[in-house]
Amino acid sequence: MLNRDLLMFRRNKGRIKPTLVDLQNRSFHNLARDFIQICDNNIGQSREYIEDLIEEKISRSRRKKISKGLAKLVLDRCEFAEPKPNVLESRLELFSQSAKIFRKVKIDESIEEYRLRIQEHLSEPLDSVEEGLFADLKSRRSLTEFKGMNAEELLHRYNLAQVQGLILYAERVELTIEEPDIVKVRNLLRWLRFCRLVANISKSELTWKIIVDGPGSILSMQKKYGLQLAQFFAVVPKLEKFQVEAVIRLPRKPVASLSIGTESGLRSHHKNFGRGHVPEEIRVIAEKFESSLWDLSTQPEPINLVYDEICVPDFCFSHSDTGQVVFIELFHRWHRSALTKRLDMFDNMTERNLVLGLDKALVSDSHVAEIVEKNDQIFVFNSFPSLSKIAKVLKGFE
Amino acid sequence: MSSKLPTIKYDRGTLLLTNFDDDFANTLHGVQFDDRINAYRAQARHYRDIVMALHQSARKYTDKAKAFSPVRLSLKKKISPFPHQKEALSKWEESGKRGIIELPTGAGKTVLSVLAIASVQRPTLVVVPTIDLLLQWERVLSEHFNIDIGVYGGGRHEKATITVTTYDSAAHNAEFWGQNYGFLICDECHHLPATAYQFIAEALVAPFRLGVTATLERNDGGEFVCEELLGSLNFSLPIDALEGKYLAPYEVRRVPVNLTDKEREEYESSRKTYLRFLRSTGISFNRPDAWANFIMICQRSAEGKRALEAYRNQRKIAFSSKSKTDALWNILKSHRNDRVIVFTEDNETVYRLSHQLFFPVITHHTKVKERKHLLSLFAEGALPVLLTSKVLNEGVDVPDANVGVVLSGSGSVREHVQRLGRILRKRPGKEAILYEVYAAESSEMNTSERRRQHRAYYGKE
Repeated sequence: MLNRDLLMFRRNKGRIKPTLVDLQNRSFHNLARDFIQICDNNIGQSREYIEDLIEEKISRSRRKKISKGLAKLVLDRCEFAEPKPNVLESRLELFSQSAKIFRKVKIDESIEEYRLRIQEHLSEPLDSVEEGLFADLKSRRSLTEFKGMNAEELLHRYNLAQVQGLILYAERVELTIEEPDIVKVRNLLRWLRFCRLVANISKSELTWKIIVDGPGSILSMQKKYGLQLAQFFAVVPKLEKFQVEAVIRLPRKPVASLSIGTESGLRSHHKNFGRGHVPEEIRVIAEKFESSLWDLSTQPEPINLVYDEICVPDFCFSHSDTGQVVFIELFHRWHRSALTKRLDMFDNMTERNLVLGLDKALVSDSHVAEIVEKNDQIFVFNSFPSLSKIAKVLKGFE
Repeated sequence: MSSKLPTIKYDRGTLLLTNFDDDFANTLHGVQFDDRINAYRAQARHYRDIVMALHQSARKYTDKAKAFSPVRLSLKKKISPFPHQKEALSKWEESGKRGIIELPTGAGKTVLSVLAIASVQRPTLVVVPTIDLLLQWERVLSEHFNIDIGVYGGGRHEKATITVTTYDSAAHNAEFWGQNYGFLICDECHHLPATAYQFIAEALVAPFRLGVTATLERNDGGEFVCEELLGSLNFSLPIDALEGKYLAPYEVRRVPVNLTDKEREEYESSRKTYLRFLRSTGISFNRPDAWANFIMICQRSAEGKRALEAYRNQRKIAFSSKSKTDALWNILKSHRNDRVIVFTEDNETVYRLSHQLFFPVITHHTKVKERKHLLSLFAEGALPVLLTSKVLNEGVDVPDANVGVVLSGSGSVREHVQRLGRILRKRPGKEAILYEVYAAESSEMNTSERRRQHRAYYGKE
């Protein structure tokens, strides 16, 4: 992410447009490569040294703001060493020694005389002691790893960070997507939940409209959701077609609207997003499930439940004669908090065709056990639901 | 299935009110209809008022927002409070155990808070501004309660019935912790109005709240935000009311120093560049957002960048001139058998002085282990001097320090009063001295005048 002073944008008639770098322009590639090389070639050097090199590069660049932005993104991918051992011990020893000397200092003694007296108690020159005195400070630690990337990747990161930097000042984001791959939509909504945001979702044909903001945004709370919105936005360019609309409130600037979409050429660096991992157990069920009445999908569309909750079911069964649809959402032992939330809303849910499958381990909680006992929309399984359990659930809908 | 009773749930810093009839919900302060979810929503801090309204209207309801119960928190040994502590506690209890207490440093705000925890008997979250205060609170609470104290911050992640955390950690985690504590204590609560920190008090359901501070007043009106979030000011006492009996007697000595000729020449030149730019752009520092405006305008042109550089340079000269170092050295020598804290405006000066004089440093870079060690050696008397920038400004209890030297600082009255507070803790026979070293005939003179506009300094020179 980039700080506000590194953002580049133009404002015109109430609209704000991020200034993205042109990836066709080779000079940007050269600039990006220079910063990458500074880090690549200086493993083992101190942070201070690397920052000086970067500073020098920036001062010689004609595009200072872009250079500073690239430098920030490159430094974010650097790992620096833990402090050297014994620096603290040596320092404390020195201070303890100097304290004893200071207690005996004469009232007319100069700083130089006092330093000479300290030198008498040291085995190495004062200059060298001074040099190592705070060697454990962040600025003095050495570069151990640079999580490398090529110039093009850095420039894409830069462009994405420019837009994220503006979204940081958005109160909410309206996202319209056209995405034929339901796996990506499911992943996007899971990501939304991970970012702890609230969404209102509607769909017509292949177009999804998702309005995203934070739970407290209507309450003039001081909590800003910009960081979460920016984090959420990072995966959006993975979608086939997207359009984002947001109202941006930069401090001490008039409100402006941001509109950006697929044509911007933004690219997300989230490599695994949308790969559509189907857990082994679900794949086995899909292979072994046989029924003349029910068709099974293991990638159903998400459902918008009451109280902003999005449910991403694991199975969707469609009855071939009646068209009845049954969703099954599974909760494993590691889904305890998600289950609590789902059970909280169960009373008010209108979806009578959503069935919850609970791992036996979750039913050890007496409150959960009581709800399971009273509710025929919930069944219990041991590690993973068997085909017979699922058949029994479906029987209830025939 | 339960019947459809009004239900309060906690949702990421807010309360979700479901099955509330509209007429009743509309009478509740701070409650709004959220059409995204077709239910009512409120900041979690309104929990107490909502529950009281439900009780008063004799409605049955389901409470899924509160995740704490009363706990037994007994004191290891009885505390006999000073009269001012007793009165402050009693006023706070009369206000429904909500509100703010303003007492000078050394007047026993932490012990007062211990008594408040023992009075409330609920899981408690104590929020403090610095790592040093985090450690200090942990120590004091462990001395008074028979339970393990949780510490969340400074590399530790322990939560317990009583947990101490920093404003930064609390702001980050409030939406996850909001339903777990019945009592919120904000130490040095004048920090709470900062935009990022208000959410802490907004997102906690805690019905009982206490803010303690030595300096509630802010020049941006933030004290009203504190009162809105924690409750009104219940009790306040100035330094001079406690000096002598409960606080150490003190004097203030101002030490003007002259810049060297070379420093003076460079200072004048930089200041001229900076002032010329101010005049040409018409920037006035009387407006509240003037500083941010100045920085923004400076970025727009080469002349602006030069002006900003000149501004920094003249400050640097005034803050760290050779004459100041010499004056400091003379002060330190005359107090070589005392315990002295040296305050500066910036870290750079602190590290430079440490390289030059070999005295230990505490800045925000100093790790917890080293801070603890240095403060304990200082308390024992093994270290006569501590150099610091701003991290020891507030709250930290260094009872043995009897001399403070302000080598540089901002024009903030609060900062200056807090720095004085570091040396006022009462000890038998202790007389505290605060030195203020400033560059004469420089803008630092005005800064010095501004920060001394407090009754703690009247008639003290």
